[in-house]
Amino acid sequence: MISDYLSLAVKSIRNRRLRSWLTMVGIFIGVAAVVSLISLGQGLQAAINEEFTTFGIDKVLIQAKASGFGPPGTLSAGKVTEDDIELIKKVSGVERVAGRVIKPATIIFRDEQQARSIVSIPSKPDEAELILSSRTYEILQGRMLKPSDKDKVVVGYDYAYSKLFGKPVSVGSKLEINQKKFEVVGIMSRIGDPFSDKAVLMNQDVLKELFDADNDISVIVAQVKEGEDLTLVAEDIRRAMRKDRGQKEGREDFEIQTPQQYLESFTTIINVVQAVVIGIAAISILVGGIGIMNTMYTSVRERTKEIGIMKATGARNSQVLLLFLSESGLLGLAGGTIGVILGILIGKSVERIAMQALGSELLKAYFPWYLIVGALAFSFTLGAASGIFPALQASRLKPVDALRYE
Amino acid sequence: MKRSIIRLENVWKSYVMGKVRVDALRGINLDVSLGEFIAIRGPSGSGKSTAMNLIGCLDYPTSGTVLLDGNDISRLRESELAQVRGRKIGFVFQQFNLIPSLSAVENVELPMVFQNVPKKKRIKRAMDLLSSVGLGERLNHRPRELSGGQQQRVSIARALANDPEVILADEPTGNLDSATGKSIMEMLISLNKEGKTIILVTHDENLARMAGRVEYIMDGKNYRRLK
Repeated sequence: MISDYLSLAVKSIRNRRLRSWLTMVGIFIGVAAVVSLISLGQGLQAAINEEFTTFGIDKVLIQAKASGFGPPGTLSAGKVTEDDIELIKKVSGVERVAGRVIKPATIIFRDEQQARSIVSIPSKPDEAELILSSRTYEILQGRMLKPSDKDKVVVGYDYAYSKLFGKPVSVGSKLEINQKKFEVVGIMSRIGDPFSDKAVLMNQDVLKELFDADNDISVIVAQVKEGEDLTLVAEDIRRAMRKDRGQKEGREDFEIQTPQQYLESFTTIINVVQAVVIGIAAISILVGGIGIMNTMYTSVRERTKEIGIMKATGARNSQVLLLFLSESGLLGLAGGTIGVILGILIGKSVERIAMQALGSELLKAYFPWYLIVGALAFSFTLGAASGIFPALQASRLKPVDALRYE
Repeated sequence: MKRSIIRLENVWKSYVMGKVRVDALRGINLDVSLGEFIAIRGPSGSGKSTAMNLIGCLDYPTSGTVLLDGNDISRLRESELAQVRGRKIGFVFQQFNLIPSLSAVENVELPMVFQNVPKKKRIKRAMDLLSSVGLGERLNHRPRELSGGQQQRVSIARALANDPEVILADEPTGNLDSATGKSIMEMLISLNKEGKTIILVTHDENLARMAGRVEYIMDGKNYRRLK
């Protein structure tokens, strides 16, 4: 009749209210940390999966192999060029190909100067459409660039709303880029990544002229025909480019990224971050468990006489053991329950803060049932396990000695 | 001759304290029959408490035999002994020894919990017992909300929970004023009339006189004294 022991345990926990609360703190901080972090991690993972689905799982990116950190194309060992675009177009299974150029530039607005990246929109209509079809390019104010626009640009969200310059940039503002005046015709919606929100879009031929660039391309986007295997087509592109460049396998100066790879690297990062933080939370939970053990030892000592009374009135060792295990298990479970509730609150708060700060719904806390049930089961088990030694000690007390204890 | 419920045969109990061996009991013999009211008397240090522990089957003898209802307790393991003790002996202590976190009803229920009595039956019996000791109005009070006399009555109700043959009362009036003490003694006497075996451990000659038989313990041995 375990329920009898549980109800006795509840009474005993209530009887020592303050100490019971303090004991539970250790558990619930740890559990709250684990629950909120896993929920956010799960949510982030789901959001990234979704993001990739909308960006298009039918596109591969080709760029020069980076030799350091920096925006794509700025610190590259090799080169990709217009010729590569033509080459990739010929690979079977490829639908459309577009190249983009990204250049660092000095931008002056109302006498204030900043270094920012300029990103090109392809000049050929079908290439431009491939780039613009992805969800990330939405115009908030004004309009998108037309192929005929010569001295016009579209700016990222932060120019207008994040005080990138002292005064906000608006439609019609004039920017000086590399000593040439440009008019802002559109402002993009918030994308959520700092690079894109601080970028300036410019037609590709204008950009090439401005920077006196040859036919270098920063990144090539290739769309794969419907029904084709993306990985196989990516491999074909790799082979074609390698052959064209006369490079050996594994020694290429370019790289091809498929959404799958991005997804995997994101997942790896999320997993590593989660593992680290959960490791820290685990220490808190361990300390919480030791706290329960300490409380239970104190409780056994304080209640030595009670144990004697119970034994005198017929309690078997196993019944005393069960009573104390129920008590420590319940302490763990109660701590875990508070932890789960707290974790959900933290997860939801972070979600809300992220929504306001980033303006994107990327970070959504997600609470699968197994996370909640698992956390509760774990904290009960931890509590009971922490109580094993104190409970054994209690159950082994001799009734005569225990009764004499004051 | 009536059935023997507790029988001590040449019981010795020794403790080792450091390097010294102390013999608290040196060959006690005692036979308590079912339905008897017996008092165990003795000054402090006489081995009276040790004898009580053995009579109450709370401890094992160093040598000799303790028979509880004909069974040698040395052959029972601790948990088995606890179960048997819970059914056959009810304790009333000088300090009342109620569990402070439990109400009167819950305290009376406790011995029945350990005998796995179903909850409904348990609560009913606990309430009946408390009513019979005059505490029907105080069922849900905690021990600290009750007077000494009331607490002792709760503990008598608890002692009766599993309907044991024997009530072992260790200085049951020691912490009570004389009027309250008297009412507790009357309660024990009436229980004896209802057929319970009462073993009263006391140092008080006047209380001991109320029993049908007095055993006097001194220096770890007993001397029978007639009333």
